[in-house]
Amino acid sequence: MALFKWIGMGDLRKPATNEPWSSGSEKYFGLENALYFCKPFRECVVNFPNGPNDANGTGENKANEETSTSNGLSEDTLFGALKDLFWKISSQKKRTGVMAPNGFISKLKKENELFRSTMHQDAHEFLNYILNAVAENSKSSVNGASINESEESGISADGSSSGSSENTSNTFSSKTTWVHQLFEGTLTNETKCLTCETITSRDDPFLDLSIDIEQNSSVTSCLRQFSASEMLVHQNKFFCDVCCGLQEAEKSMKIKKLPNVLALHLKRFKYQEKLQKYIKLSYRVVFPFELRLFNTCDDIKDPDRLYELYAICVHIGSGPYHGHYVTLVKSMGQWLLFDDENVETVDESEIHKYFGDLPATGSGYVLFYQACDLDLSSLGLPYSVWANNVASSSSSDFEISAEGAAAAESHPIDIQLTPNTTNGVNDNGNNNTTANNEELKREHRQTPVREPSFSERWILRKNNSDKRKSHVDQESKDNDENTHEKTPSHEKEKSSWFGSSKSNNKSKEKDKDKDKDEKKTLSSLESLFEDSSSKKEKKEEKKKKNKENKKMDKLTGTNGFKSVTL
Amino acid sequence: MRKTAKRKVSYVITHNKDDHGHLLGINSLALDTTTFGSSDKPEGILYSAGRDGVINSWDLHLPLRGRTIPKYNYNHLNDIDEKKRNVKDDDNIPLHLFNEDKNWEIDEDASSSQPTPKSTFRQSFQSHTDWVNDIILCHNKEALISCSSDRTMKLWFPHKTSTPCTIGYHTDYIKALAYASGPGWVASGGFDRKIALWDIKECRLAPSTSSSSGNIFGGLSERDFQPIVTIAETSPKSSVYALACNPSGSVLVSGSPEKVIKVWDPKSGKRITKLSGHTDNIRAILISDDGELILSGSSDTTIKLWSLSAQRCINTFTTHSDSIWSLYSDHPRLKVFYAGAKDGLVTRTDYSEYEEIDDGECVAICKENAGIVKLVALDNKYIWTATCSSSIKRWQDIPLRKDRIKLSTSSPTSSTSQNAFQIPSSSLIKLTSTAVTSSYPSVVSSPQLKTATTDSEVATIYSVAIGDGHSDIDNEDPEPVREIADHIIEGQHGLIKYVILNNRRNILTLDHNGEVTLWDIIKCVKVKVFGKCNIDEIAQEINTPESIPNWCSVDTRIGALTVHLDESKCFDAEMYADEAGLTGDVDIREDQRINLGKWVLRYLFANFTQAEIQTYEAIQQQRSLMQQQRQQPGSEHRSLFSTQINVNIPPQAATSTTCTSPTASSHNLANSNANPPMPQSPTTPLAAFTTGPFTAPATTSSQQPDYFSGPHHLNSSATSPTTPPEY
Repeated sequence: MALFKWIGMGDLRKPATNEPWSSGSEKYFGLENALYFCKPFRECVVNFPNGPNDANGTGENKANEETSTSNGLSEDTLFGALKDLFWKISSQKKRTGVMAPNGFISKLKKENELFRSTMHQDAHEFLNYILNAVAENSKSSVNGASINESEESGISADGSSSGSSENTSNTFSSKTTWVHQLFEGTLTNETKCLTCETITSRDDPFLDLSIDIEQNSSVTSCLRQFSASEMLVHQNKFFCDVCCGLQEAEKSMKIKKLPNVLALHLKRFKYQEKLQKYIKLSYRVVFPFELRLFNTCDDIKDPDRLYELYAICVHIGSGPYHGHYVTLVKSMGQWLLFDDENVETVDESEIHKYFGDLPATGSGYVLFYQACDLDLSSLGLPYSVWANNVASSSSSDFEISAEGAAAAESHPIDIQLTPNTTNGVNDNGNNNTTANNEELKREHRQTPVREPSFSERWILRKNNSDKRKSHVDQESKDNDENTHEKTPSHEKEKSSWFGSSKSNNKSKEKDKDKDKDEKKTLSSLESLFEDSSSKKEKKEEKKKKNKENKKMDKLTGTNGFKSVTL
Repeated sequence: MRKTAKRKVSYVITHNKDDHGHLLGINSLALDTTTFGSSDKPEGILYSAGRDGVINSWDLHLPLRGRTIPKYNYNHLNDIDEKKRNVKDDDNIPLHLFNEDKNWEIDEDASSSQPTPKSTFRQSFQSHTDWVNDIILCHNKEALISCSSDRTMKLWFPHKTSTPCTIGYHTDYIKALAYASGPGWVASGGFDRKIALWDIKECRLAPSTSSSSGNIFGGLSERDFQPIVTIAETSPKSSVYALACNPSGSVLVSGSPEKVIKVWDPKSGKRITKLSGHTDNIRAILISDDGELILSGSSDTTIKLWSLSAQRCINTFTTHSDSIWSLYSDHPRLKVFYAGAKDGLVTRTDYSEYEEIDDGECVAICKENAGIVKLVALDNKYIWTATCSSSIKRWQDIPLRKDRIKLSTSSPTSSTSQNAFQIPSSSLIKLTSTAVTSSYPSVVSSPQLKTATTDSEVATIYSVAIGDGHSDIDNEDPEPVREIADHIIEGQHGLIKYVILNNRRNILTLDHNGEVTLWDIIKCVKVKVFGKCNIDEIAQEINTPESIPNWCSVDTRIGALTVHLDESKCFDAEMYADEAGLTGDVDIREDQRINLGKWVLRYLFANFTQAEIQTYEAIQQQRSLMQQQRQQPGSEHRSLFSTQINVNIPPQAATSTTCTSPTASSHNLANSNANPPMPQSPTTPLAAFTTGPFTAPATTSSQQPDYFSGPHHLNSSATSPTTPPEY
């Protein structure tokens, strides 16, 4: 298809800096950024295969020792390279910087000859390729992995439980990997015979949706067009098996199962007969920040699922064969523009420039929407990760938690902590319990304070449309409004926590508390909205959070955590 | 305009010739209660048209008597004058006279005293080569017009011995017909998104012509048929699924998947208006006699009543829970109508007695096993339903409310179950009015209520049917009153699927009953019956590893095995004579090969060629006689030898005779059973395939060099099978 140029992008933790993070050595990184910032994707990548592999080696578990490198299984696959890259990014001490994805790209070139040339490549093709490759690799690595800490963690998101990595039958049967669980949806092709009115349907799974576009349209209307019904009449009648003859029919494609992360690919190219080549369609296609899909089947269980835009892969260029990609990613509520090695903040009000009609800024090409009610626990991720992202869930429980229902909150957490500890590292037992108590307390207070969920922010935004000037201020303000507890002791705890966490940094042991994970993540998130004075602390927290996420040895009975209600 | 058709010969291998039922589902019914039967009064004839392309007619043997009291209260109409029912083309005739069947009604005394007789077969004709989609009776029930998926519209006079003749064409399936008896036109609409109006006023059988399919239209040749008016649509969704017009021909309405009802002016062909409101395909439309009210049934499960003058929907009936496929009414204002749905439920809604539609009653009469494609009712006594199964069921209807009252009050002893009629509440369906006038209180002050007798049964009916009782009625799944049909006109099991085996001679078929049969399409016989099993498995088992070119195509569209021979491909396949299954003392060369296409064609036309030969020989004889006579003086019969006799015998006939002489002996074969149908007479079923102007290609009508007598044939003339294969 059309070939677009890839772009390297940077990764940015802190909103306020302009430090370049990742070098745009060459290509693809823009899209990778979008994937990186897709938290569930990142977590899964980083946490694959069997749980977080110790960043620095041995854990309490003997099993952990068996894991060879920091990346767990030393895979020489594309997925391995991707993991490496993500891990490197997240384990950076600094929040900002530049990272050259050389390793990954060389691996990519080796694997796929399409990307081997120096020609510009297409973002969507890359996305498709990488998702499929990662899925393949995950599947095969799970299948081929030797006995591992899969015992405890049972994290493998594709459902194969501990010890079953050698039991290939188990894993072969489940074709879905975590990649599929994140990105896969199902389209159903329904054909209705107009004479006997029987509906025959055929299901097609998809990892991303490619839709045709029209000038001056919106994504919603393009989606509607995508699912519009086609009449099979005249010469191309439909052979109905019920009528046993050719009859008129109405065919339509509807979405049967909504994916957790929707990658919308706008087909911005068209083949022109006269020119005998493809041209780029720079149509203005507006896309919303929140999206609801209307072209769903009647009997779908959650038709009003709300999606939030979190990344846009933009193509700049007049033709389909060359160009430049930049990526817009929303992190912590702040939109960032990654342009090779440059990262800068972007105001939300500027997003409209990427609708496509302004050639200078480029046109939105692949849009990433994440479901607001994404249930990470179902992906089999470690609790910490999941809890981390629980903040992102669109529950109105924010109110409940904000109500300081510490007691209410703590209970579920309590319960889960226990199995955690039992399953968890023995050595850590003590640490766990003490940490538990400590952190429990902190948990109480910190739980209410968390990143507002997507939908909440939407509500907030609606209410406070004027205050859009600075995101950070805005959100911290809002957060403050909603936070019932802004304890002075907060800081103290944090510092103490940092203290411990600093030590955790070095020691492999303490950090590996799931519980700590949650709190750290929560606190780190919340701290984002604190004054910038605690920037440093935040940095640490962030670092910690990511480290924590990788350390999966405690995150055994994650299954137990799936039932946490908030 | 028809483009030059490709030359193609098709033949149908029939089975079950003695049974008369339809092979596949039935698409349309038409009722005739005016044609006199054997006695001095009509007994009712039911015409049925099926997916097998056959139109059957059945004698109903119903006791009928002349109607004295008008069936429905026409406030504005005069008494019916029975004698005037033959008048046709005069626009001044009052409306009620157009519905001629109102002149005969079921003789109630007779019908109640004895069980209704079974219907018997009367006539049958294979009119079409594909599904017949709709039929209507016109010209005082003397003529039957049918439209089909084979894109033709045919006219048939069932009471004469003529064959149906084509009177109209479309470029895609023709789905619906509507007849305006006043002006005498027929409207046809189909999947080519066109509605055409055809003038059939001149449709009289010219007395001079008899049984041949020649010029029925006294002077007009078939090719001259053009519609009076054509209405064309463009959107891909505007295929016509339903058509209706009022008897005076002032209004024409159509329904399509576009979900709107379009109202047309038949004279100009322009659209008057469109009525939107339905949310799915419109499958059935009725229009009141005065053209003011329109009743439409749609796949969105609702029936809507529209007022054309107000151009809005007056009422929506949500009495069904599945797509409405057919509507029927003989009430001039559509106040009593029957509806048949996809789930097989037949209901009758009656609000003829009241002002408010809500006060009416809707009762679930019966339920079929499959969707009701068509239904007709007679006098609220009987209902006939047609579905995708090949049997027609007759159901006993339920008297209208006013009649029930009459019955119960008139009969002294209400204990006779025949008269007193109680409709269980589970069969009644709530009529909710979504009209503007829903603000009316639902209390009904029906006069009949006050006359409640001591008969508790009658009282029960009312308390349940009206007013507050509505809330108790469960609209979900009403139970039909009639659980079993009164009588079934059985159909047969047609073929629904086929598998061509590798030897391109044997075909496996699956019929509606699940039976698998093996056929030989050259011998045209059933080779073996496998019974109920999986057709694909059998195919795998008995398939031979051969590779023979595709010399024919097969389909089972009409429920029987039809083989199509296409001019360009039919001579591509050959087989060795010794493998062909010939028996007897056939002198076959070692590596003699038989061309399958030629073989089949020769035997197909064996009778025809035989007849031609005989004619030719007769002419030759005459010629020689003439010559003899000429030598005698005073012959004036020279003129006899002019080209009066129009037999197309080109000079090559001489050679052809030698070649075709073997077929003479094969004539015997042709007569054995289960043969490809021979053109014995134009009126036999399936004759339409081999005779008639629009079926067989022109080649076979003459003895000009055809593939039989062509050079390649001549070469192998010695090797062509001289003795018939055994059957």
